[in-house]
Amino acid sequence: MAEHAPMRLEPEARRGKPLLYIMAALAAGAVILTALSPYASLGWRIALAALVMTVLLSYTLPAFGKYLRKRIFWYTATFFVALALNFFLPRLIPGNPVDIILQDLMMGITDVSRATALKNQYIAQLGLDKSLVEQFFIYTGNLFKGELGMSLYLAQPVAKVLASKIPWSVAIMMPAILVGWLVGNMLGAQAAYKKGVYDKVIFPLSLFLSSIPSFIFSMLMLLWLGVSWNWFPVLGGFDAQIINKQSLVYYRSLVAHWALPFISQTLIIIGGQAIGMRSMALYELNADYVLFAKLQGIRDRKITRYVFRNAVLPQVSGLALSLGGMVAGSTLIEIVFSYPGLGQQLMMAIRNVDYPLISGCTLVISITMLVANLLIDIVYGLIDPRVRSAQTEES
Amino acid sequence: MAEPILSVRDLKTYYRTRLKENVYAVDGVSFDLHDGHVLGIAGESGCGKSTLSLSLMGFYFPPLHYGSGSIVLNGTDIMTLPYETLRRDFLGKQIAYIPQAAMNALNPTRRISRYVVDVLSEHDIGTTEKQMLALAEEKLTFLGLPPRVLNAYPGELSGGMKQRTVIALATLLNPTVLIADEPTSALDVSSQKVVMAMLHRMLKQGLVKSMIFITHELPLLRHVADEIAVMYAGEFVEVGPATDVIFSPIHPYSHALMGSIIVPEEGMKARSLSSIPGAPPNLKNVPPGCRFAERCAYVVPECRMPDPVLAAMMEEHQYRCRFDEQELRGKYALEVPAHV
Amino acid sequence: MQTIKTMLRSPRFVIGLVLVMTVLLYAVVYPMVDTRDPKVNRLPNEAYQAVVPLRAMLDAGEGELATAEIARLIEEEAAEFGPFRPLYDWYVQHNIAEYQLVNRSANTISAAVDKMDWDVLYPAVVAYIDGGGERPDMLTGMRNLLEDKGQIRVVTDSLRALETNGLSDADAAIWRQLLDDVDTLVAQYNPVKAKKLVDDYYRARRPMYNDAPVLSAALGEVSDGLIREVVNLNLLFEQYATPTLLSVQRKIDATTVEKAASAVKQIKRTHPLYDELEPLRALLETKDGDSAALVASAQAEIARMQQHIADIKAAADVVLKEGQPAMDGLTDDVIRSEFATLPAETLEDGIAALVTAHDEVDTRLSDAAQRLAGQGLDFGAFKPGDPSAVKLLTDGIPASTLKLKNQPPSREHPLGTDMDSRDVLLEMAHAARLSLMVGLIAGCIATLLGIIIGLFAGYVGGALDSILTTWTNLFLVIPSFVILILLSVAMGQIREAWITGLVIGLTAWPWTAKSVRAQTVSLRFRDHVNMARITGYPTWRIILTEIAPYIASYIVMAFILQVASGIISEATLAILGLGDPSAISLGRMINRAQQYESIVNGRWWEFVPVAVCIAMTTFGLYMMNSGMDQVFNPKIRS
Repeated sequence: MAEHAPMRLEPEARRGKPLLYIMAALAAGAVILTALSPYASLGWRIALAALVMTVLLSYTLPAFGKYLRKRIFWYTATFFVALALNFFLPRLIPGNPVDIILQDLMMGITDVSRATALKNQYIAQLGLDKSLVEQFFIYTGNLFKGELGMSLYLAQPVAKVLASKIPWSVAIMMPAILVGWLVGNMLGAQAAYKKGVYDKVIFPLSLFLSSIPSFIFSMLMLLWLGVSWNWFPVLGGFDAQIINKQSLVYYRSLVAHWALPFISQTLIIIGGQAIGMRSMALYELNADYVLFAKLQGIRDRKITRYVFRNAVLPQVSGLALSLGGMVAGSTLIEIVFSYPGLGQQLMMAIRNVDYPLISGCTLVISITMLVANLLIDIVYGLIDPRVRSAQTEES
Repeated sequence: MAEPILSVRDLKTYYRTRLKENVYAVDGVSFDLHDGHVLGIAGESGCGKSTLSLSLMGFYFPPLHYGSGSIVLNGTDIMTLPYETLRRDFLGKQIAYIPQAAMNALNPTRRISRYVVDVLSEHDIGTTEKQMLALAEEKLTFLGLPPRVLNAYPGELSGGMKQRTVIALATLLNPTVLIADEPTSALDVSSQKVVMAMLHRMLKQGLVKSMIFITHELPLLRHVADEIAVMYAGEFVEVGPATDVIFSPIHPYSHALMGSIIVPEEGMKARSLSSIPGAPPNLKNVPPGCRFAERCAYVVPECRMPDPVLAAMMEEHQYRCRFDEQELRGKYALEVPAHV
Repeated sequence: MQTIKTMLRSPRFVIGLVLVMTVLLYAVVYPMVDTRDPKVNRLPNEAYQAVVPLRAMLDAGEGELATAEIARLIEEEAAEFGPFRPLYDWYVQHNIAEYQLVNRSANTISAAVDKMDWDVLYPAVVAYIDGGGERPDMLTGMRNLLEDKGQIRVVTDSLRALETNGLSDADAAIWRQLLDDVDTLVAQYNPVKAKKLVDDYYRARRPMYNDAPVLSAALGEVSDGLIREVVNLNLLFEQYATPTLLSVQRKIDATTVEKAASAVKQIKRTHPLYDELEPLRALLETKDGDSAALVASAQAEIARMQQHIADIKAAADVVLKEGQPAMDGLTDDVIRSEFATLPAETLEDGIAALVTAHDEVDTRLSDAAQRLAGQGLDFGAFKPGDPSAVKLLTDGIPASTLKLKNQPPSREHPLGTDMDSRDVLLEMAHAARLSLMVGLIAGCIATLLGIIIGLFAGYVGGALDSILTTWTNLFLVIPSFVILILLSVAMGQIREAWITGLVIGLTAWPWTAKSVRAQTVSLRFRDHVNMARITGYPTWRIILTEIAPYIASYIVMAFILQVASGIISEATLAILGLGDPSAISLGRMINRAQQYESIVNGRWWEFVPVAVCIAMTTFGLYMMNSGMDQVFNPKIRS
């Protein structure tokens, strides 16, 4: 009995394949070129080697390996585009950036020798005398050395500034995402399954939480819990007036200052996840296979387990999509709470028109997004078998 | 006549809408199903066939509710059983259901083998997993499916294969009655043939004792069914031996239905294509009297009166109309075929 | 239409619609009721009405008329316009035309300095000095530098005298051309351009380039001198050129005892000096009493504390240099007790932390001192002829109304006033209008882009689809937030609302495109589409007539979501400080509340209404979308 192959390429999709090959070639070329260029550092070469190793290893797993390779290729290409964007966009300013930057700086500097010294330093740093493309390669080369230029306003290496700020942001984001995702999905599943009063409470509440812009919610939380009720301290990451940074008091103040931003961010995530999970669970609960299984005499409890497992899968990939929004949201939350994280740093950099720092912040945000998305894609590929079989849909 | 395996008497089931109305999708259905027979149920879409098949399983969930009537399978009235007994001893074991679109009947994220284990373990078979899988493999091979199906995910199978797999899974426990709800309507012709052959083989080999075959494709029934019941608006309007119902239908609706079949036979060119004008009644507002009255070519005012007589012609061939057979046959003969 | 009636039956849609319409009506209708300019609306209506014609006169250059009008106002409404007396005197003394000339020159110089536009600079400087502008002495340095071409001439002449034996005639000509160009530019008062010319020449390694640095250095000296003058000029203009109302106000407002008290209050209990500051705190919080004496005592106390802190820091220095033995040598008991409580192991760190903590207190005390110093500054203290006073007049703010800053809600101002004494209710209406407009524009652009890209990618398929999908996915993964920021920064200060909307729309289209594409793909091989294709309709027509109607409802929903996200994006940009700083938008109001610490100080009316406004709008839009979803995509519910 002749059997049709399960997935057949449409004729049109086949036509698109050469384009993908071209893109693959370009991406590979970009990677190799940068790694081999004289500006590339040891870091770059190591990264390239690791990439090649992963790709080679992926051949040991047939279906998942193909998926993995596709994803890696895709994210590498995206990484370069993000790099290019982060580099070229700020440099699109008409006119000589040096002058523009200078005029603001000059306001505060009365000593002329310092002014000219700074001006020359900046020109040298920017390497404005070289061509733009050359500058780009230097930039990427430095990137893997961990050098991101010098902050204009703070007169410190950008990398150092960022390194001190990133832990604060991560301290809020990571637990918020984990807790928010878990609790939100659980609540959504419960609401879908139990229905009735439970649902009638959770659904509007989550809808409300997910519809309010995050910064507004955090402002209200700040006002309500922080100022009015004075449960939590407002502003800052810790109490600046505590001298002893090793003391228990200091750690307590750390936690106290961390609590409110964390709670705000978590609640918002819970809202979004609950709504999503609820509709996914409802959809799955009404699926045909549920009916068929029941008609075959399989008991409810078992079926429910699988329903929720299926409903959770899109939530995992949905997490990737909503990460972008979360990053924006957390930036604003940091600003509202004056929490010394990446977001607040970005705002200060914008206020001071500190281009290297702005570039640095946005680059870190972009890279984090890419890495998070890649990880989620990999996890999703591991847990959902449908992904492994379906290879023909969009990249 | 031997005792029927499945005996349904005056079954009524309804849907409860959001506005708290009760819509009787199955409104008083009765029939007997004997050992080794295939009962074909034919009718337009929306006449209640699928609801009937679900109802026969004895499995009700909102918004579908059980109204009244009895379903006696192998001597036991299903409706008197508690749910747990029903689930354990009947569903899948004595009576099985094959859904219409097999595409979504299987959990896309589970392998077929796991599904097999699930089904078999729920029914207290008392076998080990290995034995279960061996049993399943046997069944699959018997039905012409390659053994690799067992380890596959549903997404890796083609449409036709999925349908056959579903059939195999439904009959794992060799149920007494198999209800096939439009098993071939979603398939291409060659797959249809395969599926029909499969069902036939199962019946022949005694894997299932009897079958209820639901379809809206009348030509299929000719080759498959022993008895045919024509359903309209929640009721059976005619029940009888297959050949009789197809070639000499009595009820005006069956008559019109058979007349609408396009069959490549001699003299077909000369016959006119008759489709039945109008639409079935809204089951929310069931008209008094005969439900087919609106569309019947031979309607008389009395037809709209409540409680028409169910005229029995022969013991085995029943129909629901106030005219008796002679009168109807007379009317049919007067129909003038259009000449080309 | 039938569909609208169906939608109205969905409770969610109706709720959402009501919310959005409320905000919309408020934003559109309220400004028509209260027609004051939101930026200058704190005047009681009558006074404002009086000032408007005055302003018009000044704009038209009718100085004499304006002077007469001011005289009249002062006489008739002496109480309110009394503070303008010095201004009036000034007007009488000066010729308005002269002022305008000077003012114009001042503006030109300011602009030239901003843009480093040296060509325009010299004539403007001359015009200012000759026109009688304030503090001409501050500009003479620049003028001299620009006029003194002599020293450069010396250098170029000496270079011209150099041997050019090894060169071809053509090369020598190039070299001489450079020198001539430099001379010309310097003669045109543009030494900076000349220096750039020389530097480029050097980098390009043109003939005799090794001798160029000398010239470059000389020109550099002039340039540096100019830069120094520029710095001085900025100081000048900050003080005398037309500052904004804000800075003037700040001079007056940052001057209350309360502000000083709040500065000191920020020193927390956990600080070692907390107890010692008690007397100061008590002083500042006295409600009654002679304010002059109060101020004096407070200032003395502050001075004493700051001295104490200086002592501590000096001691800390000593201890750091000499270590533990120095600690024992401390004479002051107080200081010693402070040092004694440091954790022993980390002496350096401990001292550093101690110093930091004390520095913070020092800053706060300086703050407080500054604020006390300004106490009592009133309008009369402005010098006649002070252009800032002129500005004040043309903005029409009598001093009496300055007390309206940061007022909680009252009968006159139902939502209170903000840090610029603006009536929040009115300001918010204007802000809502702008934000809604930007959101709408952004939504339109994003939806349009998304539809076009999605339709074509989904319908045409093939290579086009691959390109477009890749492009879309690219921008889905790279956070649009990042691109938005980068674009906004690159564009600098965006003055127009629609440009902001454009930028937001340009970054928000990806997810719409993706969804539209998915829908289109599912429709692509439907029967009616196939029929149209077989009939031979052109692609664009098929898309328009066969596919678009089916996704129409979806497009509307996507549009609503895009508008909501556009509003949020605009607010985000404004809160970050991007976009037009002078425009009033909802985000900008929050930004200002943030900057002026309204949240922390509990002045909830300065941001809660705005927050509620934004929340209502977005929540309403999401509700509408949810309602439409229910109607158009009914899901099976059990």
